[in-house]
Amino acid sequence: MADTARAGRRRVNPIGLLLALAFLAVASVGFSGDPWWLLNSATKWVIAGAVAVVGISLLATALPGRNRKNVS
Amino acid sequence: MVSERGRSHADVMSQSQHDSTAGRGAPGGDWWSRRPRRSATDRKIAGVAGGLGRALGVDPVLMRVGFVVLMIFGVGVPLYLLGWLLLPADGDQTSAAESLIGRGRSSVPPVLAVGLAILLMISMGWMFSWGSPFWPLLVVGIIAVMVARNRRENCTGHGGPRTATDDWSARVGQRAQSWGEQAEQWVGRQSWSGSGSSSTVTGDGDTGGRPGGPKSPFEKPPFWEQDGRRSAADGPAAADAPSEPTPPAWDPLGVAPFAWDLPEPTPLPTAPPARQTDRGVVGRVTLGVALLVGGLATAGVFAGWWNLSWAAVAASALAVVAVGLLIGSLRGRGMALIGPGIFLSLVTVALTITGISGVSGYGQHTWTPTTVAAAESSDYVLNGGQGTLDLTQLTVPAGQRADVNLEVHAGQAQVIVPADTTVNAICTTNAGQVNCLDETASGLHKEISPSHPGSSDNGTINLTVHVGAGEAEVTSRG
Repeated sequence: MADTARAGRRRVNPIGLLLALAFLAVASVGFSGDPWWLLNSATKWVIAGAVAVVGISLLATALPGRNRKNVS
Repeated sequence: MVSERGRSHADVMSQSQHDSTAGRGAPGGDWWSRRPRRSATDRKIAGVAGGLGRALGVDPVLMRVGFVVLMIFGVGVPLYLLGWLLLPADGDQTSAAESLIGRGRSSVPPVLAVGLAILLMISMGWMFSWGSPFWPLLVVGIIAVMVARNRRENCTGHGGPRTATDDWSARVGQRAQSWGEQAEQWVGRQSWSGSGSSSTVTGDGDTGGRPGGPKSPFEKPPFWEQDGRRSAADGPAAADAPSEPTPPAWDPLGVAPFAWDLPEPTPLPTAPPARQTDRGVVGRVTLGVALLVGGLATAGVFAGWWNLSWAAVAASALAVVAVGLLIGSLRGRGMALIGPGIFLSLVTVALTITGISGVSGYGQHTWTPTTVAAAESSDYVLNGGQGTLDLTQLTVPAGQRADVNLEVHAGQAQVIVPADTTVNAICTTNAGQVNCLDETASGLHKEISPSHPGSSDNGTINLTVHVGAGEAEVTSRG
């Protein structure tokens, strides 16, 4: 039963996820009008966002009902 | 027999352990699965130098010296952090970076891995402070490697080369079959079995093809031999009779073929067919909304409803694609949106560098202001083309100052200043070349601030020239 649920569950596509975040960053550059905004002013926001994304991912994988496969 | 069996079992266990610690696809996998491992014994910090030295056959001390030397040039720290993140340690299933995305176990805790990644970003920022243009190359390289790995895994997942698990399974199957045959032969050699050869035993007490053998105590042969006996002794009519597989009356070792005739495993339930339609739905909806948003923004610019730059228009469509890709990725789909996303990203970056906005201001323009008021009140802005600002006829009285700005988004900006007037110029470009009062610079994000001394009888011109993509040139003419 658990295997059935695991097989039916959709796996997260990490490449698509990273590219989506990169596209959002590029879009923010376009909205700002400053091509160097991301490298100069937004470095701290990029780092904070990356840490936040990792934290949210860890929280999401630890939620009940998303018990991961027991490797051991 | 026992020793051989034990040795084979030990080999199998060793092979299995090696497979479990050698990473995905090993052994005989790609270069990624055969990359060096961080040493668990010869280590000062994380065992990167020890592992690299062991893999390359070099003294780890030399590797450490090399890292220290590279640190002088600002490369050593990022390289060591990369090794810490990307190389698995001895006994680990995978590296710290891969364990963060759930691709195996690593001895590096997730918190430490995140901290290492942050340190890596900061150190690489320092390393590339002298060359920020290399950042996109690095990002593109990482993406290319990940996409290549993903495709290789997809290729080997179905119909690819045999993996270590397949070999182990085949060996176990052959060994089980061998044990079964040996057990069956042992039973056949016993006096109570009465079956010298499984193909020749009969139920009426004969010894079949084993002359001189003991007589079978059973009235009937075992059921697994009835088909052959019928076909050989009873003629075609008996051979056509259906056989009923019934377990033998006495089979303490469970050696009857009936025991080995296990049913086929039930196949795993397949994913619901509705998933096949997710990809198309997410992609079509996302692209549709992106085109709608981009078209609406473009129409608004042309109609004058809002004053959006073309970079913002492209960024609007890109943001929609990014959100669609984000949703699709969380559902395991959305790869079809990567292509449009990359295209829109390039367009957005190009338009941001130029800064083009509006539908006017293209072509060749020449401005020739003669008074300070006229020079300061006019906006010398050109979207694309060549803009020439001739200030040779501008007279600035002594003690006064004229602030003049010229901006060309894509193309060439040329300013001619009088030689007898003091000029303080600031020339910038996002991408291109700057030739400003005999000072030149070229590349990305360049800025120079030269000054030109003039006569004390005239005032000062504070000149600002900006070119998005193209060339900025300031010359003096007497």
